[in-house]
Amino acid sequence: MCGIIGYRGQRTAAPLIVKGLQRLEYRGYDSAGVAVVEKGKLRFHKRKGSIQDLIISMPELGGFRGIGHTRWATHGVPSEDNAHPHMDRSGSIAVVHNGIIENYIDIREELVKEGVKFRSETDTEVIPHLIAKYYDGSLKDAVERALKGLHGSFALAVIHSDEDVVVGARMDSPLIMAVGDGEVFLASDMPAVLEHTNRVVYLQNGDIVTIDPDGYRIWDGKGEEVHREEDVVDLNLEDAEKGGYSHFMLKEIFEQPYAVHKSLLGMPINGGPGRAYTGRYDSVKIVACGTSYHAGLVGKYIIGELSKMPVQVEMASEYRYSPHPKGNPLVILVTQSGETADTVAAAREARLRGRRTIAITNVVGSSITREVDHVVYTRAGIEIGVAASKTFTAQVLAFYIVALNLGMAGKTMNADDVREVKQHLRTLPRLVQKTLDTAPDIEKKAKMFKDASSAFFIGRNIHYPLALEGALKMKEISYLHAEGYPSGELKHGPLALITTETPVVAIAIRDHTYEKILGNMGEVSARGGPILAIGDERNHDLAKYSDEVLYMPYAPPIFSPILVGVVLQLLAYYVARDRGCEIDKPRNLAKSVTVE
Amino acid sequence: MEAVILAAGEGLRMRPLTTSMPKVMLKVANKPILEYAVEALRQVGIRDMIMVVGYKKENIMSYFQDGKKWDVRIRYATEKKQLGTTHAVAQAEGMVDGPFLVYPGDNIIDPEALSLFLEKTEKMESALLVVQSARPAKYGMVITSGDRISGIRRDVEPKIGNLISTGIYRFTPKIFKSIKAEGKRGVHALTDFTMARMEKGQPMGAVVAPGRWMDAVHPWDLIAACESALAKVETKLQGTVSQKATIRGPVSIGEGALIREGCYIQGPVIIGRGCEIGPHVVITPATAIGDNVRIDPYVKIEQSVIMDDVAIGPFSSINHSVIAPGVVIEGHFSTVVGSCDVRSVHGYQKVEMMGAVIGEDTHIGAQTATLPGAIVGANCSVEPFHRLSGNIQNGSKVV
Repeated sequence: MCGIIGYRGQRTAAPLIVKGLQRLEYRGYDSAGVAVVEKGKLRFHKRKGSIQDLIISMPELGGFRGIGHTRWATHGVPSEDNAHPHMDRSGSIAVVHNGIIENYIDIREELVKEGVKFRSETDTEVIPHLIAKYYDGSLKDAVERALKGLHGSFALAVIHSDEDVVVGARMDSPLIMAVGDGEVFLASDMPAVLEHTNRVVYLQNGDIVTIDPDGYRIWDGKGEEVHREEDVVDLNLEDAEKGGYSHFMLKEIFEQPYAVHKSLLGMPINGGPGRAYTGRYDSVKIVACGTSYHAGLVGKYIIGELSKMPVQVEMASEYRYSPHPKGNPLVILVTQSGETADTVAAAREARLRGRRTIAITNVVGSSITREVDHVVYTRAGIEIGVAASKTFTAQVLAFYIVALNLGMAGKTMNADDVREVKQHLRTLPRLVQKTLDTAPDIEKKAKMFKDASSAFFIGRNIHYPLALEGALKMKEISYLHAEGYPSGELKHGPLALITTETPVVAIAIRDHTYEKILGNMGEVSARGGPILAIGDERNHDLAKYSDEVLYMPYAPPIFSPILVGVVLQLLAYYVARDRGCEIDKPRNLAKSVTVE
Repeated sequence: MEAVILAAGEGLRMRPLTTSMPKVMLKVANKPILEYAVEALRQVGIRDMIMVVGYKKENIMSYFQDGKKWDVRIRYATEKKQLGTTHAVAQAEGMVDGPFLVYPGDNIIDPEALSLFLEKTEKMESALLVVQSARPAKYGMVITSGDRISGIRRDVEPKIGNLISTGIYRFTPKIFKSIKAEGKRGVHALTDFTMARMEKGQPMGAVVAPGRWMDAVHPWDLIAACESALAKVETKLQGTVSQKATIRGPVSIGEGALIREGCYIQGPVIIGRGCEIGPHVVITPATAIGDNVRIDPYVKIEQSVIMDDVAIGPFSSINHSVIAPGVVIEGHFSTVVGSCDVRSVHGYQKVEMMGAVIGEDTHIGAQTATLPGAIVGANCSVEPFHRLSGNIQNGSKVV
């Protein structure tokens, strides 16, 4: 399988063709080539290797029409000779081809008898020679005649040095024509040209097209000129990379069972505590921004609960300018990208203050890894969606590992405690899977937020940071004004804002705060606020206190943040989708913030 | 050449192992069955693959992504309702450019057989790869005349021949039209489709290939499949192995694993990453242990498949058994091994030698024993001191 592209217009052809080839690189990257007509002369450049190799070695090519090709050798070797475009003997005709010419051996033998010398081992090379044989002043006629003798599947683009025309043909291999302003493209697939135009003509089998200064014309398999409708495609460039999902964020949410499995294996927990955790420190300080800050807030409860250490959490942008109180905390810096400017600067500051530092990050070799004493990698894989999903989960996971290490080093956890935590961690990949299995229900109940103008998220204890994270996700991708509160704080102000138009998400997991949460939900429903409760499958009484309930699998409260996080991500995703938002690239936001 | 890999089905007969993943993602010697397919295809030069996915597709897509890790390119076609194998193939229409191979994702085959097939069928419009089988009755027989198929027999009559279908076909894009036509007449399985073509006087080619071919159908087949795959395992000791442990024969131990003193491991054995084993655990040949497994002191594991995240309590004895991910077994558990008749979706199956199959996330209390052929479903909870036999449904509580 290969990708081809053709261009005729008012801009210099070569750079446009190369850009298009990069977009088609998913169709193959063993060798690539470009041919253009510059001042009445055919010039070409081809290379074995990737499009990048082609670009690096490329001379300056002018001209306003040309063709390009990227090859994926499934049989036969990738080499410069075998790379397209292929030329005829005189060097005035160039062809790129995707597909297979089944009877090329017969044609080749015939042409050799007529004295043609072949330069490559490809089936394609017979085409330019055939066209040259039939050429009599009209490239379109010559292509048409040549095609009559070919069996197999193909999509072609052809240029000639003497005629201002690009000819294309399609039989059983994909080829589309994209129509821009004063320019027309031929391409194997729409992403190649989408940045220039979204007007497309889908060519049919047997079609031959010509693109010349007067525009384009199409002839069908019977040789009759036809009119084909232009369509407007609604597609964005990354669709090809989303592997069957409609958004990167959804793909990343659904990758979590596998990401959790990988993260846990990447953070060794067998044997004793890591060296970085032994030593003199009297407390822990977690420093981060955004979603990582929320993971840090969850981490505070995890470390406090499991390893009984005093923990403080601070925003990286604030930590740098904070006073130096007495004491010697272990500083844990959390950043997905490892490049977040504020967090990296905070790491430097911590070192200046003489602190032991540990970074939790997803990117091996990132800036922060050079600033700290020890790194815990989350190994969640690349995340493309701007709103963090699987990396938040992996950061929370990292805190269990950190807590285990701190507990072992500080002797606040014995072997049995460690073993119990590890056993719970083992169950997480499948608990996350079961949580994802409830997605259809979340999708249905997300409708509650479609027309809301503002929403609240409440939770207590370890689930309070989840309320913050749920609100952040909602703000980020669905542009719905949302605020997270500890549920006890509601009555100290925000309750004034509750109306029938402001839905409230209540995280109501059965722990020692459960009764209190039910009370807070009562305060909301007394003011007419619709409540969406998130509880585990054992909370049968939750339906009595709320309008809708999202049930997730049971996990002990200290592990439930991972599952609640997944539910909140899906909720934000479906709300954003229902509100027609740009999910992977929310306005005004960037994935990693490298300015302070 | 492209390959259309069929991976949309659940694999009903593989229950209860398929509660959270499709059959093709079950691991044989710690590698998903589907990964063997991708590797075999890559080895014969096919780098362009379309996976037809459906049941629990996220599992497959998260694992294989776009295929770069295997130096191949993978695209996905979703089959919303699994109607049959031709229906699955039809999902790839418009994604293949030329001749293509249809490959059932649950097959494990020697690449040599594949490359012979590709070579011999280069000129054919459609062809089927057949292999010799010692038990053709299990699969249905393929009857050939010359290099063409002349019949497929489902009835059991061992005299006719010993050739069986692998389900691996070669087609050209022209086939989509006739798949659609036959589909309208209710033909949704590739074998029926092959017969229909034959009746219309368009017989498919047949190529008999030597070499190892295997498809895992029932949970207990994984034990044999694992044994066969482990024949290729090489010694690779990562993680921490106590100096007082004994490792004999080819044994592969993953990163971060911890093997404590007094363990005796006789290869071929594969042990995944992050495991915690021992002290004094005995593991005998043809055993595969997944990632993140905990095995407590004085446990003996013989020729079994232990999947990811399993915990096995002290003094347990597990033999010829399959333990699904996340199972927790308290101490003093034992599997009794013997020949048995096991109930499956299509009636009873005779199995020569078998212990038990335990579905994912099931919790088994202390001092429990299973009789030969016991199938315990997923998410069950078994109180201590029980004797389990027969089939126990998913989610059962044994009190």
